[in-house]
Order: sequence, then C-alpha cells, then structure tokens
Amino acid sequence: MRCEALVIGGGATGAGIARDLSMRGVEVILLERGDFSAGATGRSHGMLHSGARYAVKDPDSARECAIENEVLKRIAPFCIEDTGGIFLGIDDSYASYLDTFMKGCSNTGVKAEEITVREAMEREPLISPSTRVAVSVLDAYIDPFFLTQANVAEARAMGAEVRNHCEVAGMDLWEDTVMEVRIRDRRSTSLNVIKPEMVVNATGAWSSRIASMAGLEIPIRVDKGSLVIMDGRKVNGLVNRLRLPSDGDIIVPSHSSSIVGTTCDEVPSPDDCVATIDEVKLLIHQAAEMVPSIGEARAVRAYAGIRPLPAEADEGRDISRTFKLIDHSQDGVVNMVSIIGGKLTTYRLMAEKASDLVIEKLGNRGKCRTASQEIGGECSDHEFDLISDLQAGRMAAKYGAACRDIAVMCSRTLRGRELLCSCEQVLRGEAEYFAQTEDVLNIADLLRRTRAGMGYCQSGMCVTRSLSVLEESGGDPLPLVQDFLEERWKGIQPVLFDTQLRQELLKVQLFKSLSLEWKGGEGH
Amino acid sequence: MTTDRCIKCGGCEQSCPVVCIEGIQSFSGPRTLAVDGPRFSAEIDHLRDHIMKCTTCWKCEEVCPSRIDLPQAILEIRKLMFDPLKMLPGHRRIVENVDRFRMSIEPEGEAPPAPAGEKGEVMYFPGCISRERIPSIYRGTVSTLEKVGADFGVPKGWVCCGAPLEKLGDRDRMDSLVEDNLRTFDGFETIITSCPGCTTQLFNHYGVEPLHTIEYLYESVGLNRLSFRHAGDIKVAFHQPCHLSRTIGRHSMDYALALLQEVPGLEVLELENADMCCGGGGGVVAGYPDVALDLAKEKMSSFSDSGADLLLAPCPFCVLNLERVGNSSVKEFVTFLEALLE
Ligand SMILES: Cc1cc2nc3c(=O)[nH]c(=O)nc-3n(C[C@H](O)[C@H](O)[C@H](O)COP(=O)(O)OP(=O)(O)OC[C@H]3O[C@@H](n4cnc5c(N)ncnc54)[C@H](O)[C@@H]3O)c2cc1C
Ligand code: SF4
Ligand code: SF4
Repeated sequence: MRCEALVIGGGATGAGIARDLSMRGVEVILLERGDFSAGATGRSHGMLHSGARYAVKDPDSARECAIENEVLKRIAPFCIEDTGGIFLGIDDSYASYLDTFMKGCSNTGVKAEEITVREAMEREPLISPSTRVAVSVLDAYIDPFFLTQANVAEARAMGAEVRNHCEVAGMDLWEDTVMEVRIRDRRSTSLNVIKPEMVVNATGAWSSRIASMAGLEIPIRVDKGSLVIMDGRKVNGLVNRLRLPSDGDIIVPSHSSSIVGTTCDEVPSPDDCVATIDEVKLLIHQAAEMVPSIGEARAVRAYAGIRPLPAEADEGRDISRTFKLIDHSQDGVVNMVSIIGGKLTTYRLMAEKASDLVIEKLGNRGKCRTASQEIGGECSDHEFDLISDLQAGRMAAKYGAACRDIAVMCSRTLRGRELLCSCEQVLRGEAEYFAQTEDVLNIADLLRRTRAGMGYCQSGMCVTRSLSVLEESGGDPLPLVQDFLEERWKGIQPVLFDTQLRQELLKVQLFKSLSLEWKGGEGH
Repeated sequence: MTTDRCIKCGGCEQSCPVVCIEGIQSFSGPRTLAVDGPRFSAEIDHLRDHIMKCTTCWKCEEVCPSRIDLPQAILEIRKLMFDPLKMLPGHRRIVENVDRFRMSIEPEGEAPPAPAGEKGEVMYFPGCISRERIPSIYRGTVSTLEKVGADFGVPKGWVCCGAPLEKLGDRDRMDSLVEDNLRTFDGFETIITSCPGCTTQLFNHYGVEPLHTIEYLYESVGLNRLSFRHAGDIKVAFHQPCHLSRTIGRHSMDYALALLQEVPGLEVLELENADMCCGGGGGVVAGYPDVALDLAKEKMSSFSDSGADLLLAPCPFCVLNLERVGNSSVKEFVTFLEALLE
C-alpha cells in the first residue's frame, strides 16, 4: 500500500495531523497500535489550559496555551465545557507567589484577574474557608477521547485511511530513506507493508522506539503522572492551587465526576504504568485542602499517563511543556519527522507545525486551515423525540456532528433506547452504532467511544450489556470480558477502600452469578 | 453528599412502587433521580419530567444497603428546582389555596366546631385533610380524646403544617406557615396529630416532638379489652401508611396491631404488601392523579384478595386516595376505633 504520508500514533497529535494533512489534500494513512487516545491523550487530565499554570516557570508553553485555548474553544466547542477556572491561595503559602504569578500571566498574554474570595465562593461553593486569594482564569474542560475521535472522523471524511489496533512493527530503509513500514494489524495474522513518501512519528512516549526502527535516537524522558477520579461534580469549573506547580494541584470537573491530579515521577518504561494507592491518598489529601468535600468523596478509579518530555538538562516539573518538532534529515533520514512533548491543549498547533514541515517536503499544497474550521462542521442543537433531554444533551456533548446519526440509531428501536449505562446515561443504540464500525474490537473500545462504564460502578452493570451488543456483531464473549475486567482492575486496585470496596464486592458476586470467576487481577 | 455511597445494587428501583406500577420509562426511579442524574451538574432541569412522581414513601431508603436517604435527596432536588412558572396544575392549586386560605385545600362548607379548650395538656393538630376534606376523622379523633378523658384543645388559628409545600419544593411558603403555626402552639404539653405527614413535618421543622394519635393512644392512654365493645365479628385488613410505618417508625405498626387485638370480635387478616405505598403522598395525587390512582388500585386489589370486610388506614391522605378507587370499605383507623370505644 502506498501513501504520501504515514502518520504513526493515534493520540490527539496524530489524529490532528491526519486531519490537517487531509484537509490540504495529502493522501494520509494513520495507524494506531491500540485504540485512539489510548496513550497519553486518554490519560490526561482533560484540562484546556489557559496557560496560567505555566506562566511563571515555562513562559513559552504559557503563550502557546493561551492562544490555543481560544482556538480550540472555537473549533471544538462540542467537547469543551467552557467552565472557567480559578487559582486559590490557601493559608499563607501563596503570599509571595501571587505577585510573581500575576506578572507571569501578564508577560505571557495569559488572561488572569484577581477576584474576591466572596466571588470565588459564589462560583465554587465547596472551596475551603481558608482561601485567602483567588484568581480567575480561562481554563476549561476538554474531553480528550471525543476530541480525538472527531479529528479521526473528519480525516476519514476527507479521504484518509485510518486504522486502530494496527501497530508499526519495523521499517526498511534504503540509504537515507524509509522505503517500507511493516505493520501488524490485530484483525489479520499477516504482516502488511506500507510504502510512504513521508513518515510522521507522533507516538509520544514511544517515539524513541519508532525512531530506533529507522536507526535514529530521540532522547526523551518518560514521566508518569497519576490521577484519581472522584464521583460527582464537586466543582463547577477548574480549581487550581496557587503555588509553584506541585502534586495534587488541580481539580477538573469531567462529565459526572471530578478528576484530581497529578503527580510527577520519572519511570523506566512508558508501558504498564499504573497509579498507586499512596499516590491516590496523596492526591486526595492535597485536593481536599482546596475543596474539603473531596476528602469525603468516593474515589472510583485511578489512572496514570506518561508525559513524553523532550529530555534536556532540567528535571521533572521544570522541563518545558512546549513541543519539539524534529526533522530527521539532520540525522540522516530524509523522509521522517517526529513530534514530541507539548500538551493536549496545543495538539492542533503541534499538528499544524508538523504538517507544514511535511507539506514543505512533499511540495506545497496550501495553507493550514485547522485554526478556523470547526471540527466536523457545526453541531446544531437537535431535538430528539423519544430520548430524554438529559440523554440528548449528553450525546451532543460527546459526538458533536455525529450525534444526529447516533440519536437516530437509538430512536429506531425500543432496544436502542434502553439504558446501557445509567451512571453515564448511555443508551444501547449508541453502543450499537459503534459496534458496527471496524474500529471496535473489544469492550474497552466500545466504552471509550460512549463513556459507558466510566461512572461510579465502573462498568459493573454495563459490561454484560456491552457484551451483548458486541456479540450481535460476532466475536467470542468470555475472553473479551475477562480481558476487559483485568485491565479495569489496574485502575480500581488503588482505590479499594470505603465505598468502592463495597462496590467491587458486589461486582464479584454479580459476575459470579454470570459464571464469571472474577477476583480482580492476578494474585487476588 | 451521602448519595455518593450508591453501589448500584438496584434494590431501590426494584422496590419502588412507582417504578413497579408505572414502569421505568415513566418514572426513572430513585437511583436515577437522586444519585445518577444530579452527578452531571448543578443544572438539574432534566430531572423535571419524573421527579414529581415520587410519593416519598421512603421504601427505597429502607432497602438501600448503603442507607442512602434517597427520598430526602429527591426533596432537596425539588427544592433546588422549584420554579413557580413550571408547576403542574394540581400543584399550583395547592399553592394558591395556601395563599388564599392558609390551607392546602379549599375549605368545603362549614368546618366542624373546635372543642372547648384552646389550651390544655394535649394539643390536637388536625391537619388540612382531616379538618376540611374528611371531617369524620376530625370528629372521630375529638370524640376519642373526649372518651379517653384527655385534657385537650385545638390551637386557635392553626394553618396547614406545610408538608405539602415541602413536597413541592416551595420552602419559602412552607417556612411562612411554620412561623404562623408556631405562634399558636404555646401552652400545650403534648402534641398529637391525625396525619403522619403532619407528625413528620412538625418533628422536622417545628422543633417539637409530636405523637401520632396511635402512639398517644397506645403509650399514654393504655386501652384494653374493656375499653371496647364487641365489633360484631368483622374482618379487617390493615394498611401501613408509609409516613407512619417508615418515617415515624415501625413501632407505630406494632402499636396499631396491639390496639386492634384488644377489640373483641375483630379479626385482622393478612394484607399482601401491607407496607406498599397507596400513592397518596409526595404531592402525586395533585400532580399526577393517574399515577396515584394506579397505586391505589393495586392496594385495593390486595385488599380484595385478603377477604377482609374493611381496610383500615391510619392516615387521612391514604384514605383520601384509596377512596378514589370507588370502593367504600376504606376506613380511617382512629375513627373506626372510636365507634367501638365504650
Ligand atoms: C498525567 C498527564 C496529565 C496530562 N494532563 C494534561 C492536561 O490536563 N491538559 C493538557 O493540555 N495536556 C495534558 N497532558 C499532556 C497531554 O496528555 C499530552 O501532551 C498529549 O496527549 C500527547 O498526545 P500525543 O498524541 O502526542 O501522544 P499519545 O496520546 O501518547 O499518542 C501516542 C500514540 O502512539 C501510539 N503508538 C505507540 N507506539 C506505536 C506503534 N508502534 N505503532 C502505532 N502506534 C503506536 C500509542 O498507542 C499512542 O496512542 C497530560 C499528560 C499526562 C501524562
Ligand atoms: S420514596 Fe418511594 S416513590 Fe419515591 S423513589 Fe423512593 S420508593 Fe420510589
Ligand atoms: S439501593 Fe442504594 S446502593 Fe442500591 S442502587 Fe439504590 S441507591 Fe444505590
């Protein structure tokens, strides 16, 4: 198979590049090893940065975030909740930092405005009474899964060939050029080969591995960040700690939950990264200093992601969060570029810069249009008969332009309107819609696309229903559940206390009644 | 919020009478309304379709393994959602009646005269329904108190206790009623009520510890076999009103049965699902009369199966709603006892 540009990595960056290049008429193939957003993208905090977090120590990132914050609100409104954010100075630790912070913001073009504690309390009734100062910023929530899906959908609509569960396994070079890229598709046993004119390495934390296939080296530092999902929305907008960036500084309202993060630790490998119970307790403890009720809330799952930080001299949190675009012709491979680092917030900008470089090499095809064109076209407010307002609203916020088709699918039959997941108010028809597509091979794929199973029972009830949806489109059910549950277990293990422990015990009994012997992961 | 503790066992939904009778499409049930729905945001308007169908029977709380007070959470949401412009017609009538008459219902004809004293040892708080809609309850209770020789009176100028307004979420109006009533409560030692809704309301919002008439009769009067005449060999079934059996407490059910056992010539027959809601509470009769009627029919059909001659219910709301089915065998408990008291 030939193509002009082969993009490797289906995170936000890769999907953004596929969209950008396709919009400029380039023939693109995008390959993702697992599912879209299964890497850092889906494991991020979902924060559309205003830039304020970086204003003091990382001014370049702050500037980029401030600009892209506005751009994304314009082009991806459906998956953004423009909640605003605040920074809180608790007790006296803020005193010397406030001035530095405000100066940093104004130097980097980040909009920040000090508000009274009273105003802050009105916006966020649950914040700590020891709040001393509050600064209002333009942070927002962005759903990384739906953002990536929408980029993929549009790239496809423009003619790109996009495949998940398709891993790049090796490369063959002839002198200074990558001639063939070998791929392993989970759907078939044979190894396929792609002959690309250009290769774009957008594999984030795994980019040095891809580079090494072409005999190249990219020094990156893999840095683990852990987060914990608390049930229910404890905050209306993003709540940040006013201090030098540290652990447990941020609470993000996400759909029906609040996500507390993050930690920051160097780890040896980007694979198999999980959060620990100590990290969970630390995060909750820190966040409860800003919003005390977080301390009593229920932790439903924890997860960890890997930040691919371009390795420079600095350490951990001090490494710049701006991105790095590498043209490998400087190291002797003429048709490969790598893009690493950056933020979810700046994914579009990263995609633009990478695409510009590719276009430069392929021969000019026009300018980037991604900053002005809404992804998937406008998503008008639809009135869906037969579907409750709550469910229709949820669909519009998840699927953007695709929600019309999905709602139709749900409305068509009585079964389609059945609730698949009540935590997240997902209808069976939504899952049926995705189960038909080539992209969905397992339960996790289905849940990632619909948010089913993301609520507090952590797919105790919807897993069997999802399975029955998958069964209808073929496939052996039991191993699918077992695999899924084992993967889930990694995220549940660190939060096995209080109510979530009771929840898991109920699930064990429930699964038993379905002849599913599930005792958690290995060793439990 | 304690709703956080839900483990999704589904118990509350399975035991909710409205879900059972109306179906989950029509009433999405306690968990969706109190736990799942509100998690999304402060914007809870999307719950409006269903939330007023809860009868506040408190069955869901009873079965919840995490002891989540789901009905209370539902009432809190009703409070947050209260919008005078979006009220159901039946609920608007209640509010208008309160504004015009300080009663939840429009007074019908001449109210029975208040008994002699306006002060005394015992204060009898009749409540809107007993006084205005089924005055036999009022008369029966007054007569009972006279027969047992209680020193009692009815507070002058009492108004609706405010319970119906709490159910609608209209807390401001409710508070104004509480204020009016409290002014009339001085000078009494014990407070008794006919209506479990009033009892609960007085307990929760007035800072007093009222008794339902049944509690009073059992605990303070001490009736025995000699107190009653022969009932004439009749069979009765006993309906357990939600706000008495669950909100006030199981002990009230034991008291009621113990009192019935003292009556010679009376047989109490088993009533299937005796503690299932009759549909009379939570403002459902006014808001969704059809739903309330469906539940009442279910109750009356259990009654028919029981083979009893009479169905006794110690709650004016239950009597009112059960009578809507058109079967004349429903009797208010205390009124029934009064007729047999020597
Ligand atoms: C804990 C944490 C929290 C964060 N929070 C935020 C935040 O709140 N806001 C924000 O703006 N940014 C945040 N970030 C940063 C942000 O998540 C990342 O910068 C961004 O998602 C990177 O996207 P990407 O597409 O470059 O990488 P990834 O999403 O990691 O994508 C790389 C993809 O390449 C695939 N791949 C790897 N090897 C192969 C192969 N051989 N063949 C095919 N595919 C392959 C992987 O499976 C993966 O899906 C956070 C990061 C972390 C770790
Ligand atoms: S209080 Fe009764 S009617 Fe209301 S939700 Fe609970 S069980 Fe159902
Ligand atoms: S009974 Fe309690 S724990 Fe069970 S689903 Fe209902 S609210 Fe949740």
